[in-house]
Amino acid sequence: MELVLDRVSKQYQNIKAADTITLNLGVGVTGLLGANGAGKTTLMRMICGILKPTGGTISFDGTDVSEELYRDALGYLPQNFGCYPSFTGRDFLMYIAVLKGLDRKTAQRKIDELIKSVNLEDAADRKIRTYSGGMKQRLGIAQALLNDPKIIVLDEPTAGLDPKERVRFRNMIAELGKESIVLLSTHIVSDVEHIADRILMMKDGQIIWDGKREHIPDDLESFYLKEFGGADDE
Amino acid sequence: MMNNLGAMYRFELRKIICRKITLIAMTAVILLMIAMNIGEYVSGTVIVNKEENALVGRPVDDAMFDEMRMAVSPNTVTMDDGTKMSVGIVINDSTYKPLMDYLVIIGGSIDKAYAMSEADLERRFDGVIDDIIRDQCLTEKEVEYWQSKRSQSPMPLTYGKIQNGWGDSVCILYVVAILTMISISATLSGVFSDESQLHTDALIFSSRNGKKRLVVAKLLAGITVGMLETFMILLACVGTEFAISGFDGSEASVQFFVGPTAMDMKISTAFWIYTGIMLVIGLLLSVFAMCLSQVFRNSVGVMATMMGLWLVSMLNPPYSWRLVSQACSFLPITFLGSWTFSDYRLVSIFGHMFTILETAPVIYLVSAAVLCVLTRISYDRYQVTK
Repeated sequence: MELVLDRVSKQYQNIKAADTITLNLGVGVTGLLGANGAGKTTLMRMICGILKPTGGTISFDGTDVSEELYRDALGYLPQNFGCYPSFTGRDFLMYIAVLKGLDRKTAQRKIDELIKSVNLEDAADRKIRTYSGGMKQRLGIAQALLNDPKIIVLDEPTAGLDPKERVRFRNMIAELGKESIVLLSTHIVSDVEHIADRILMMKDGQIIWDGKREHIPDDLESFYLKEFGGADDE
Repeated sequence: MMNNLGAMYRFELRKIICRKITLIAMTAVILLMIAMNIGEYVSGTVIVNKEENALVGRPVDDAMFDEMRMAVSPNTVTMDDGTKMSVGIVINDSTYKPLMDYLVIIGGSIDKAYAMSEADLERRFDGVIDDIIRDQCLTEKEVEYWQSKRSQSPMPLTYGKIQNGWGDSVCILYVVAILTMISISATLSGVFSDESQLHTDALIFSSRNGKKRLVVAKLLAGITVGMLETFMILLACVGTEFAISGFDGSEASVQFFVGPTAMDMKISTAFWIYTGIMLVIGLLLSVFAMCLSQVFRNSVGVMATMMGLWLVSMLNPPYSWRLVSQACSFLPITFLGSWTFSDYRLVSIFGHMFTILETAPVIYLVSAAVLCVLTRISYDRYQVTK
């Protein structure tokens, strides 16, 4: 399994949000670090096919990002995860399952399974408008995993979670990384430090550092601050 | 993997119906419609007159006018300078009151109405229709077309019950169109824009069915709700009109309700034509609101644009600007008025001439189809940037 980004660029008028990025992502957790405006979200949106690159191609095992087969393999948790306040958690997951093309029986089974694994059993039949920020985030993670994705793109997945839940999710993501390509963006360096097999650092639309965790000489946080000239505002 | 179009359609229906504004807009508009009709009845603007049934089926000729003069008379007052002026009608027999009221509108004054003869009425009809034909700068072919139609309209008119639910409904359907536009713009403005505002668009466009098929489910669900809304507002309007004025008088000529027209037909036929067109307008407005919702991705923008369209509909370009003026006459929100029966400009397609009433529903259906395609194109090009 391989996700290939070949000279991917995105230009917004005078700003290059992604500048000729070439990457090969394999099974495992890849952490993406970068300051605000570095281009992380733009890159993730292009990988998810919801934003068209101005140049270059993205493919998964030879399937282009624009094809349905690609989306069948994709699970995505956006940064600003949105949901319908009048739906219950279970209804919302069923809606996303319908969008992902799951049949009713499979959807029901997966929903029950995911509700349990994200610890939403007691709240699943309550309206989402009654959920806390952390509960919504857990629902967001559950919806991303409904179709047993091969590519999992998580944009700030642990934002809004309490420390206990964060540890629980780190473990969950690490588990997913054993069989899937997981791309994880976060501003919490310790999240990446614990679970990422490979780390990417972005600045001004470019990947400025790409390597394995063990290749970082000192602790990740210091290395990261050094790379960004101590200007990390995230 | 499945297409799940049926399941997506049900979810989209639910999303539209669960919006608070949908329930508020529909309830407010329906209650307003009912209150307006009942208010007219309570205030006496609409009077139920069963006595006039005695005249139904008789020719509106000199004999009937003589009887009318026995039953009603002008209430005259003497002015300071000694001249006499009619300021109202004294009714001895209410059977003839609707006829007298009608003749006042046709004649332009109580005195002229009171002195009306069969020949006067025919001249008045010819005069009104000739004026319209001249004002609208019709082509020779159009004049020929309407002269042939007029020769088929028998004079004297046959009396038809003037106050009835059919006529009252036809005359108020333009209000239904305006209220439907307001209600639909509130209900369907969020079909696409809510996804951007709730940030659910990223999930939708990254999924198999969301990217390609959801637009169809959304359009179908929006059309269903829009049509249902139109039907309910229509039902509230005509339901109260018929409940107050009754179902009698379906055979009466439309001329008793919209004034002299070369487009003669029974009032019940006019009612069904207008009702059919109203439903097509409901469809068009629904698709238009959703198209705007997709293009703007902003509910307020959708509602503002639809209100703007209503204002544009009120513009009345001079008849000499034939193309612009004729195009404006097809604007849906102000289409269903009595004035449409006096629009004699025809549309020629492959040598065949079609009236405004024949052309409008086809134009609306084609426009709705084009708007669906535009919505689809815009949806396919949409990118999540926020």
